[in-house]
Amino acid sequence: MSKSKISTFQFFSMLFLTRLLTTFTYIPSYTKDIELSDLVVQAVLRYLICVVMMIPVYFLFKRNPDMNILDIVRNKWAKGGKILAVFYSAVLFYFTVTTVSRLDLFTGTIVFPETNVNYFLVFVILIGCYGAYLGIEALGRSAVLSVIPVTAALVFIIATLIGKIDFLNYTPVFYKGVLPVFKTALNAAGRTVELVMITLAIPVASGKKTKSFFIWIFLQALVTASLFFVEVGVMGNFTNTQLFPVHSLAALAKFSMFGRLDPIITGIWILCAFLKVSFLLYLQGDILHKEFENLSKKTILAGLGALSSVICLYIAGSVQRFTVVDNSLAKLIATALTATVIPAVMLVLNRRKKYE
Amino acid sequence: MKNSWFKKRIEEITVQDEKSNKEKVRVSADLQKNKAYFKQQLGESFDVKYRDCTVSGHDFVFVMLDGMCDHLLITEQIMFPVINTDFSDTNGDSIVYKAADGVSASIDKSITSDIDKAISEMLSGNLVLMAQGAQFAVLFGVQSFAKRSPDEPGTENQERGSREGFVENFKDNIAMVRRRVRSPVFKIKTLEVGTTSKTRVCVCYMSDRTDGKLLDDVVERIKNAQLDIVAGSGFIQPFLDDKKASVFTCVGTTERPDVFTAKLSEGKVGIIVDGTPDALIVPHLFIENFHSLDDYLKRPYYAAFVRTLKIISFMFSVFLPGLYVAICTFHQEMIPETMVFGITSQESKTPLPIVAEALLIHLVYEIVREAGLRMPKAVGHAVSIVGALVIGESAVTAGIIAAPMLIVVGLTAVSSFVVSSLYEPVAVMRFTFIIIGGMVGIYGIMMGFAAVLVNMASLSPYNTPFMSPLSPTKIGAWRDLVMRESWVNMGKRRMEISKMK
Repeated sequence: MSKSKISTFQFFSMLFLTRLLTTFTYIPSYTKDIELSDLVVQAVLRYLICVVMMIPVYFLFKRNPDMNILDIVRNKWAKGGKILAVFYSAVLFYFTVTTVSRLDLFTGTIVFPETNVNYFLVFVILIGCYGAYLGIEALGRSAVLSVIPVTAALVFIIATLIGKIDFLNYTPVFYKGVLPVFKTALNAAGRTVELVMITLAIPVASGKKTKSFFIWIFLQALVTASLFFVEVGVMGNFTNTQLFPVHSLAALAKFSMFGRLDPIITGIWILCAFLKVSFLLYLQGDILHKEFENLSKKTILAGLGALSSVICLYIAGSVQRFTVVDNSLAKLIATALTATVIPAVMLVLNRRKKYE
Repeated sequence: MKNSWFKKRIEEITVQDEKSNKEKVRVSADLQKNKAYFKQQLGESFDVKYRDCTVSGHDFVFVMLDGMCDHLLITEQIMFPVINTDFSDTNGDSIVYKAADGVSASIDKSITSDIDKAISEMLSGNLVLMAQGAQFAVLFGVQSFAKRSPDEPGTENQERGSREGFVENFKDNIAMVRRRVRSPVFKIKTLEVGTTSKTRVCVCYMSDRTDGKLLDDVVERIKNAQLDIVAGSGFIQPFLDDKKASVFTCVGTTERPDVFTAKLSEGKVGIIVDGTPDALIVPHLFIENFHSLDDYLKRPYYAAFVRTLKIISFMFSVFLPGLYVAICTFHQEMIPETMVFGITSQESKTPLPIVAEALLIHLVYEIVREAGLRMPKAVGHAVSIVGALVIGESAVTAGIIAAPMLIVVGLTAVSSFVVSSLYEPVAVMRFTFIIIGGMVGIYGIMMGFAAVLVNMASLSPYNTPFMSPLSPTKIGAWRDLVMRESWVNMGKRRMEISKMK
């Protein structure tokens, strides 16, 4: 990782916003196996799973506070570090593509259903590359500046919807059993690329990392659970018929003479998307630059931007292609490997070395 | 890039300033030789005056620039004592030393053996005295030229506070600051910039609070500034700015000595350039654009109110036209029912799409503004009337522009003048957001906003983040952010820019 240091507040603000994007853009097909009220339960459960998944990372960084996972691997096995760097970059690239494609799915189906929005997609990647080029300090500071208006807008929208909650919409909890809820929560945890981000970038954050991590987890669970609670209460079964339920929920919000507050939520969404794409590209650029020093960061980012644009343009406009790419199992495997399994293996290897 | 086509085209029509490697020329013992050298360097310029005289058998020459010296001072305080001095028992270099000693102590004087320095000082308004047989020249500080009185600066009007503003003469400007800081901690470093103009640049700071690294960095940047002529402080500004490309500047400007002093008291470095009333201050933070001297002279609650107004105005001036275009083009559902019919009926009568209409009317507004600014004041009013009544009213009556659009332009124009220091970035961003809003609606505007935000966040002049104390968050500095604490509390502990890192 580069030497630039940001505060834990900046780092976790960034993660808060990137995670918020995933919450806003969840698609009901991910949660089709559970009842409506279980949405709220799994929102909490998924973050508990995230905590469990981060246990190896916690112990690993406790021993090597200034190194990320790749540095630790590189110390042990230089060639392996190179291979893993490419693997981590590929995982992050995959998440970048799915993030942009989901945004394209939204703009192509909800915002401009009758217009070709490919240029918007390229625009998003271009701005993301620019953000990545400016570096983690700029992104961290932007996140802090964005987190307050984003949270305020979110609270405002939730507040305008509270009056519309119908308590008859809430079904009994665990109506279909505990297992489907756990499976859904596990799937959601698998989609949490922020765990990979922590594994790769936590050394650049200075401050109380463990405490900040738990505050982040708590706030994220609170926001997600609150949003789902309002969504279920206001929309009921209507939730499962929408491609992007949170957007539909915002469309029902009304304040004074102003109706349809969905552009506000979409605005937040776009801001979060920018940060997520930028941060993902930044991490890829940083990792690859370290391994291939003869390539400048600018060149790597341009290459990544071009490649992701081509792939996203190929996916654009086809829900089938998007469904194939945005595969829950693939994401779960990728996240578990990079954020849990590899750190756990390194932890074991490090311990063994210590005993020897 | 080194041998790029464009670079070659630039090289075809430009000349690189080269540092002079000329050897130092000493003042000669032969007075005629010195005069000849002066004439060779200065040509037949009518304003260079040579006054020859012989005292006690020794030949002297006074050289001065007409219009830049105080003649009365020269006659009474320099020529009169020199002419009345007895040089009969003096020879060689001691002649000029004796001449210098005889002159009143209130006059600045220095002695040099470098004839080029003597010429340079003479061109700055000093009087040069040379004598036959002496290998030195005496320089007397007798500058006097037509100058403006320190009136209230037109660009920074304040309700309360001093009515004094910086002038073109840097010595007067320094004196204005000195009057406000009667402490030895206020220090000045004088540098010379410009291969040809040799403009004096004063770097001002307070030694007890200015970070040494910051000061060294500023001095180094000014020394390395490759310029031929320095016609204003704006020539030096880019050398002091952050290296990252941005529409925002990290160099503050002020024409007010009180503001300049206040900024120095925060540990910043001020730069006064001879010949220009705009002083520069580094580092300059984004939030400072919303602060003014009046905020500190009035009650804190009112300062907070005014600063909030400024922030809202800034937002209006950047985003309002773009948002209007985006909402009318893509998000009509956001417009309240009571307004939607009115806007639709008005906009449907105009021939242009909303985005083109917005671009056109804003372009017209910028033309009128620029014309009003450059024209003589009397004509400027006429231009404003033509702009407001003829173009505005007629365009609506003729059905070229819709009335709501005119309201948007009016509100934007007024708002943009509330924070005048940000006018340049605001004007450019406004057009950009109109185009983006017309192409991709609010989503595009949000993406553009994100790009601007990250650009601002990336600026870190002299290792001080431009967005500080908002991000990185320095809660302690929030006592003077939007809300301001009373001087009863603020006076106890002062703010220092080095703590914002």
